[in-house]
Amino acid sequence: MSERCYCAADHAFAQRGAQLRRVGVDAHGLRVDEVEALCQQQPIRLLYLTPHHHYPTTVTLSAERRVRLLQLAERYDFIIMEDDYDFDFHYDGSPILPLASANRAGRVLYLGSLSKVLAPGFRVGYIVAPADIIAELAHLRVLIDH
Amino acid sequence: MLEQGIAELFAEGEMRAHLKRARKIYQQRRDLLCQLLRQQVGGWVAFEEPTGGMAVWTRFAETVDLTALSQRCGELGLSLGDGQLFRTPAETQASHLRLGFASLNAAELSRSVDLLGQALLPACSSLLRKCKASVMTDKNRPSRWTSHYLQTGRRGRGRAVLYLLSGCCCGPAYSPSPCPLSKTSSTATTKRPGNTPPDLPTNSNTSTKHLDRLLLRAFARENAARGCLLDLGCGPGQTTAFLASCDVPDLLGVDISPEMVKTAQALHPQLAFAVADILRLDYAAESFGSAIAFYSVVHFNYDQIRTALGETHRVLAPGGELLLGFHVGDEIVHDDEFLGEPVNVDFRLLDPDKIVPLLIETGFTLVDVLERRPYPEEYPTRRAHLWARKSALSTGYCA
Repeated sequence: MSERCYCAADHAFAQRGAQLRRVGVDAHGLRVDEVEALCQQQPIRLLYLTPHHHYPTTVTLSAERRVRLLQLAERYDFIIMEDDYDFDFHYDGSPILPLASANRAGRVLYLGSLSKVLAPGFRVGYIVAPADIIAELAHLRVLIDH
Repeated sequence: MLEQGIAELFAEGEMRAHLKRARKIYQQRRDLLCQLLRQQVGGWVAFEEPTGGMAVWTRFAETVDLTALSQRCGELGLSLGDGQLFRTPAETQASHLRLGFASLNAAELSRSVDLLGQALLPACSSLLRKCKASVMTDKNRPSRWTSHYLQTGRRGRGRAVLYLLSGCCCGPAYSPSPCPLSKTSSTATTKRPGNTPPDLPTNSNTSTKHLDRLLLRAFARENAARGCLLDLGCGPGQTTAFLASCDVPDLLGVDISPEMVKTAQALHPQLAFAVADILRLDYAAESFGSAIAFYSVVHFNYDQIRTALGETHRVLAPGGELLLGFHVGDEIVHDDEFLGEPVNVDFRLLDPDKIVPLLIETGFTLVDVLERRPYPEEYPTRRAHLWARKSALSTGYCA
């Protein structure tokens, strides 16, 4: 996770017993060099990030770092959770393509939200992920809904 | 059920159309919020315009205590975070806020930034107290200057407050397109006499200070190639910054208050500022190509103004020009309270017919005398602008 982060995500992971590690953010987004340094120190299972407009700083992760992150995920065997919560709201030029669009190795879980598109009251989102993960999540969702 | 409904919105193209409309509205709101922040609280808040999303990531000046600010905003009816959520362990105090714009319409954004500006006033006031303290504790100055320094200290305070209200640090002070949506500030300080900077206030429908801007632009154009332009009594540097935006390559802003110079330097790091006394300029003869003194002689009596003009004439190169701005009248406006603090200050309204002979006496040739009515938001005095020139063959004024 990044140094300053979406606190709800912090809580969600911490609730599940995750040990959180943090990396810095600069004008080009998440510090990928710090991610690599961390991977060299200890195994990392999952990287959570908001690359389109980083929460809270609004910076966009550069294309170069996106490529680098995908390579690192491959090399150090971690999952990337890409929370693209405001993909639809990009004003200057075209939106940047998600990491998931270059996800050849099936390492990226892509999350989107319709709460901002429709209304905050509709807590509806979506996920693009490998079939086994979708099946597992569907199972959980059934438990939550009933 | 819900999911099915949403799927239909996608299938029928409704979602695409809706997003297009929403994007346009949010973009306008982003632009407006950024404009308002720059105009009204630019001296206190730094940010990069976000390329997308629904919030502006802002960093507040070190002097702003976000906890106190959040509380003051709450009292004024504005909900503002205290930044603790975004504080990293390395930071000693919270300094960042995420200002959301998507859910606020133009009027609400405008009102919110107005309130934020009001809530920031005490932070401004403490800065001004520092300015005043620095003036009052300066024991190295000869005692006969004391009253003058106190006055200039007071002047500095006025300027910084007005400056905050008009917020002109991030863009040209004399913004050619004031926000079309914001309201005239109701704060009493905008109606002060004295050293009202000519950009005051940009948060009004009519406040363009049209003539002042035209004059400053013309003066900048005529003198840009002549050498360094001296901004006498620059305060926090808003006029200096405006002149810089008019492509004047070489500029120096000077003020008698060291704190004010420090503030100007912090607000405009790319520009040059220095401490200097207009009545005794510590510069060699013929050091400057041109000079302006915009509302910086309003505490002087006519004898002091003669001295100031003589000093200005001395440091100007032959052919150098001077632009002088002041309030027209013959009263002395006394002020004994400012921002809730007792002060003892006189503002002098001045008679152009008495200033013109002083210009001639000190060696200037008169180029133009212009008078205008006050703009609606200004203190209700007529304003005079005198454009004068040092003779190209002048040998200088001897006091």
